[in-house]
Amino acid sequence: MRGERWLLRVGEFLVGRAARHLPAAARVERYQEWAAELPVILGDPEIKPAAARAARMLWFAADTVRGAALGPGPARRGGAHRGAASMGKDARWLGVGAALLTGLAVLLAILAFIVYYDIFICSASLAGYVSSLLSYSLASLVGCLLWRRPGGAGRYWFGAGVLAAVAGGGAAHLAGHLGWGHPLLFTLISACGYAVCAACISVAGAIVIRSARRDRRLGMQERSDREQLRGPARACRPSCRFRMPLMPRR
Amino acid sequence: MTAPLQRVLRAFLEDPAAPRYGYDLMKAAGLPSGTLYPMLARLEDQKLVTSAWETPQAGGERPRRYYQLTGEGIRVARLELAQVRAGQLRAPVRLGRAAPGSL
Repeated sequence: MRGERWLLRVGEFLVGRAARHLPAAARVERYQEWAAELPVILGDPEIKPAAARAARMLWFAADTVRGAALGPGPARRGGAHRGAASMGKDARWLGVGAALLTGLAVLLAILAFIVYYDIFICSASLAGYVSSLLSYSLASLVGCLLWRRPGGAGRYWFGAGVLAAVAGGGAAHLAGHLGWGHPLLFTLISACGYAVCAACISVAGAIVIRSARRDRRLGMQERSDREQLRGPARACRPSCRFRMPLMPRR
Repeated sequence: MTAPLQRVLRAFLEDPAAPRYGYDLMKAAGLPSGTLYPMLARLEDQKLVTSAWETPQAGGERPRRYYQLTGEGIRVARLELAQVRAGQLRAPVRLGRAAPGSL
């Protein structure tokens, strides 16, 4: 069958995902068992045509994910057998999600009203509004992130981006009012200002994300060091304290 | 006893001495993999089913895992299915999720 190798890979990927839900002791065995069934299903002469066999094989692989998620093991957090503690945590996340969605809906309603008013009543340009909205949304998002994480180079990039947007937009606005030069020139200046702003804010966002990752890694290292000091590793050489027993990457 | 479990036990009891692999049982019992394998794991934990790996083949294919009812498994399966049959004759059977630790 053409594409059999790729189908098997997809199936193996799915059963691999399913196996991750299982306790560590059963993971490898189950993966091998399920992966061994895939070529058998794909070559089953009782199922015709070949597309049906492929569908059956993929269905087999996909359903192992469901079965594994409902069983005991690390998947318990996402499955049907959740404890009271995780249910409380889930409820909290649901609350946070609902609040965020409500806030977003209110914000969008306000923005829609402003856009409607300006475009249909004051006859402003739609493209300008869309670009402004995107810039302001991005700026607000990065601003929130920076507010949560004070300090760092991200702040400077964010400031530079806002400055570029204000300078570009202000110059175009002023020139329009005073009637300097060709309007297209100042529209271009304004667009350039927004582009620089978007680029600066993207850099700021990247810096924030990178620093968050680094902090998490350092936190993990610190925690593992603390655990080692507390555990039996306290008795070993001082250099052992600085070994970082990270989980192997899967 | 749940209906899927009855189907699996019936599939095993068609030929109790024959080792069956997962896909074969899936076809015989008409169950999806997500239902069958957790059930087999549970039966194995209860020592009603035993499993063994196929010897590796020359073609480089992955070895499969075969399942078979144990002696105790055959006895329990026959008894449970007989009880279900007797219950069906008396009154409509209530099918539901098995309590943990029971069939």
